[in-house]
Amino acid sequence: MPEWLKKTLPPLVFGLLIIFGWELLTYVTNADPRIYPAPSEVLAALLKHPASMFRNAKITALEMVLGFVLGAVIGIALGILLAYSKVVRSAVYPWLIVSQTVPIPAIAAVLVIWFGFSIVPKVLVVVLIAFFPVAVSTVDGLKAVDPEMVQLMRTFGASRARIFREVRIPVALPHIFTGAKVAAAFSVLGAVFGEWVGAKGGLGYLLLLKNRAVNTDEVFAIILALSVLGVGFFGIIVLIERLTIPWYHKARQLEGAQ
Amino acid sequence: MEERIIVSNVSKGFGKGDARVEVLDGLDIRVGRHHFVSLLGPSGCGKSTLFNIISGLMEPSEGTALVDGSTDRLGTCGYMQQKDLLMPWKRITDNVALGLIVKGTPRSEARRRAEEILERFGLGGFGHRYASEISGGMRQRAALARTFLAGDDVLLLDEPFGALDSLTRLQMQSWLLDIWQQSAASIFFITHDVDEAIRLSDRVHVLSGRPASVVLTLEIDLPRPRPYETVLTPEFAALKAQAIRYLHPDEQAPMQLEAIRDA
Repeated sequence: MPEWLKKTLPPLVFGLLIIFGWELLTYVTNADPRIYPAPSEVLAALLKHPASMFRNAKITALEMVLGFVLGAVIGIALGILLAYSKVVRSAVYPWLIVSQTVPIPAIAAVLVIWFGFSIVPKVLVVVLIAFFPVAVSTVDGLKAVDPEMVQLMRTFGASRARIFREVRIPVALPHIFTGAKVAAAFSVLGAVFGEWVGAKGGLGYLLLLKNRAVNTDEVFAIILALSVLGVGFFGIIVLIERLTIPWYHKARQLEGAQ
Repeated sequence: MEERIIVSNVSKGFGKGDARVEVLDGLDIRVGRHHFVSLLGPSGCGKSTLFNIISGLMEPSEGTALVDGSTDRLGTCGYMQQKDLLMPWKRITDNVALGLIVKGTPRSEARRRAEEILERFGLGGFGHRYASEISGGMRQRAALARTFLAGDDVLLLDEPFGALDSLTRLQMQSWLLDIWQQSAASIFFITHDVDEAIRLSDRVHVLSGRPASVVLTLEIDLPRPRPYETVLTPEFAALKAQAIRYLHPDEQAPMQLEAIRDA
């Protein structure tokens, strides 16, 4: 059996079993399809209004991507500041942790008051969720440098800027990508929260509408679409990671082989 | 003999007041052009501190360290530590070329010279690999290649073979002697392996424990080239016995050693 099949087969079989069991259960119990839709009905609902589904998915995807990119940039910049400035670290770091204890929907409500029903509050909610894991992993990554490697660069006569570029950044990149993957997975959550508080479009908005109308099959279809968005986005980040730091994966594969 | 490294009366301590630790005590050591000089001493006696000073990473508390007559030492020596410190995100060629590139050699020129030296070091064809994809001995040779290119023929080698198994280590010693003899390099070498120090060097300085001072200087005039069998000759054993005496002054030299020395 080829390696990729060995990896993908177990989760695939497991997932199919769950879906099959669920389908069977709805028939055996003769459940009300408006409340407990079978997977086959969810699939049908997904294809019922493809244009609307697609249009709203595009809105949510845009919010995710914009928010993630902005959050990642802020996270990396903040991480660099935190790693290099003692003043910033002691003054800002505790507040950063406090900021993560604030419930995001509460903030989203305020953002809607400030920015209305535009895309801005949704993007900001995603930013608020995405920046933190990236900032923390950037700090960790920048601190993970072998001091002897820095010494080696100094014996070459390298400047601090050069050492930062040639050594600290490459060491930090795998860590930063770990944070970015967490941020990518959570960015769906941020976009949906943002839409729930006030929106005129997007999958989260659509989900609320269908939920109020008790179109449970369509609610599930939207949940499915959202998770496809999330997994797809995560996959894109993984792909970018593979292309950016190929050496890291080669080393890991070799370690695994030994 | 033109001196490339001059260490005069160098002392170094760390910390202040009661917490102060003296590490080096009045060292006087010279390394001439195309000379091979070793420092032999117990682990943790401060040998690496001396190299940190010579390379310019630190300044001595007292005394002076000169490389080619200058106190401005950062960027002048090739300094190799026990770990190979190859950067896993660079291919071997780029790792080896790194010192040259940092010092301002154009990238293509630096890479060409790196390919050249890799060929000479028996690593031709491995330049495009990552460090994780080659063996420990090869990594050490690549690190040495980088040191040769960066060092402008003044090399500080701090237990470069310390992490290798003993067979690979012997091969690497022979190989290093070969490479050195074909070059113009002056090598200052740290080890705690008596055989390694004597086999490789023109001169061996034996250091005491902390604070380290030179307790014995051995001129090694064994003929070169020195194949591995050199370590089996009575002349070698006599030198070794002397070094061991000073490395372990508290221990009585074993009978056999006495016999060999008198022979």
